[in-house]
Amino acid sequence: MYEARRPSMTTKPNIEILTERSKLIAGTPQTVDVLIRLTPPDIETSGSIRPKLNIGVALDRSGSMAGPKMNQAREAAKYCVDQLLSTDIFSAVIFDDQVDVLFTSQRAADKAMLKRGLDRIEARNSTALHEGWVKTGLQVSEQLDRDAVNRILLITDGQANVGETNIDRIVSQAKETAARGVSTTTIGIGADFNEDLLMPMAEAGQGNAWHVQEPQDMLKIFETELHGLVKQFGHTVRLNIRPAEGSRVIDVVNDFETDGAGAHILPNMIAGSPLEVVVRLDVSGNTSGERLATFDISFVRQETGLAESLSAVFASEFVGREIVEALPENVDVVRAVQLLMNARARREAMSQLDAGNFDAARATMHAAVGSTQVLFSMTPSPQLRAELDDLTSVEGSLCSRQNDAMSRKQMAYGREARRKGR
Amino acid sequence: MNRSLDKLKDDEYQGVKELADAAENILRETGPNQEKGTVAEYPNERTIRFYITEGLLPQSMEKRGAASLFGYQHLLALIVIKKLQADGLPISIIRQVISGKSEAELRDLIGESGRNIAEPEAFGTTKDIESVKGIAEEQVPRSLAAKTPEKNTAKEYLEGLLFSRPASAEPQILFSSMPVALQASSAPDFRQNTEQTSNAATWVREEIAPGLEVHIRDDYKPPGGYRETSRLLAKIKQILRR
Repeated sequence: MYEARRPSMTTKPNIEILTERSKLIAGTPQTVDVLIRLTPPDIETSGSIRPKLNIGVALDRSGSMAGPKMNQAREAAKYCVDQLLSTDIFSAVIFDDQVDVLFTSQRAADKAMLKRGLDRIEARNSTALHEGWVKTGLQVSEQLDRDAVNRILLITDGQANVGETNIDRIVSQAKETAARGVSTTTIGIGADFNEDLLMPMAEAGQGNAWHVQEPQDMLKIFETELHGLVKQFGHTVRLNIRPAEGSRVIDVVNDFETDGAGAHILPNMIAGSPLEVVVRLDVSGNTSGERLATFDISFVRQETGLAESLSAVFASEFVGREIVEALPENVDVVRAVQLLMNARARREAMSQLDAGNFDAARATMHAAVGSTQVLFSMTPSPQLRAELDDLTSVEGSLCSRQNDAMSRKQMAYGREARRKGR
Repeated sequence: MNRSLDKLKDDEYQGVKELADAAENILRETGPNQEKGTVAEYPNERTIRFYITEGLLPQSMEKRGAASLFGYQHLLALIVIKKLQADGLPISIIRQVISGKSEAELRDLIGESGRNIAEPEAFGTTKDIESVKGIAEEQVPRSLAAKTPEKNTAKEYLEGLLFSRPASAEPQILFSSMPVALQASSAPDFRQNTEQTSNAATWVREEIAPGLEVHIRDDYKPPGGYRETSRLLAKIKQILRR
């Protein structure tokens, strides 16, 4: 019985503050990379402890989805239905040039019926992406529940070419809708969708942006998304940095967006999954033990809907240069900085690709591969191996010029994943 | 409300569900407690468990079978918590307010029927409430408080989007400050005259950045492929460098 089990969400997220070396150099101004690791406590996800889900699937059925893409999208939507509890809410909207509500917002009780309906979806015409998204949002908002994760899953392989097509306006609307409690995740399939629409839309919509390179990856993406939803610990996560006198923030290497008040907008907190933020500070050769900066994290706890905040103070001991240089490097900090620098390299290469400067894009990625290889040779890890594989694959595809659109998408989504620690 | 509470003095609640239902009945009698729907108005099983683990609510009195047993004190504390939450106070402050309070004191906090619990006298002294609110503001960052969504305005907002016309079709953004040659081709009844030739085409003006505009004819089709798009962007870049 649940009554006998003690709920596990009793602790607060843990904040660790790490620097490349454990001490700083006395008597001289210096730049220091500070790694802030925010780890929400793990929770049990079985039974009634997980948050209620209110999911609306917006599924593109335009002509280009015909074949394996549509088959996989249908299977993924059916998988989603299978994972829901009978108390969860499900709705589905299908769109091409016409938008139809396949299932109005309802409890996921009769799963067989829902899956039969999804099986009947066939690919047809062009893509009224915006209207499809709005109508799915309407279904989700019909049963908006503050204790639930209310989310639109937008699945498309194409560009918005019917109705509202202005990217800035659609992104702004996703932001407004998220502020009203309905978040948006976007899943782009293949090489022809517009990542410059789907990624900002998910960012503004407080959801996730996924890229399905091959149709068979669709199910895995759905698994990851649903896993994140049932383990969502907190949302509306913000970081405020308060440097002490004599210190100055020169960079937040994750390149997070900021809100109107200047706070950095962090991704939603997933129970048990650490989020790493690197802040670059200029500090003077200060007195040991004095505060150099304070990091304030605020968030809304998923379970209670209540705003909470926590703070961590960064202070350090200052000693002679020789002593500092003899100290071992913290590999976690070095690795985190390298991954974020690689994220920036991907962004730069994308800009170079957009400008038609293919050689420069290749050179940028080549440099990122080189520095990552050096680090991997010193501190091998599965994470760095995966990073190297991704970087070399992009570099190769930039060299072959077989599919520039796919190379760009791979870089865009690779950057997104590194920035947000996913 | 006092009369309703009196009747419940000897009641016991088996399990958090029964406790949640009893609290909801009482809270419903008092009507809406908050102007903005920033917190759930009524407790549910999950929030009650959270309050217990956070020390806001006492542990259950005993077990009856598999279910925990709750009493009058739990009910009173739960109502006080929801009332204070509705007034925007965070959990840390509510804990301070209700910590160690007896049944009678909790009753006082709830106050007489119709009186708002957040009025200063409900806490005892004006000083108490000021200090409580001072801490509360400090703990809830302003940027976050401002972002907290209001009660289901999502539906209203999305309905508004569905019935509004895309701004690109708005007549007011057409033709303003256009070169003479383009203005000459514009027919005032452009929306009725949709099958015009390029000589009588309509143009949309889009501002890309301050000082930079692009004029797009209505029958222009953007390039579909990546290479064509890149060539187009390179051409634009070349013009901008002149």
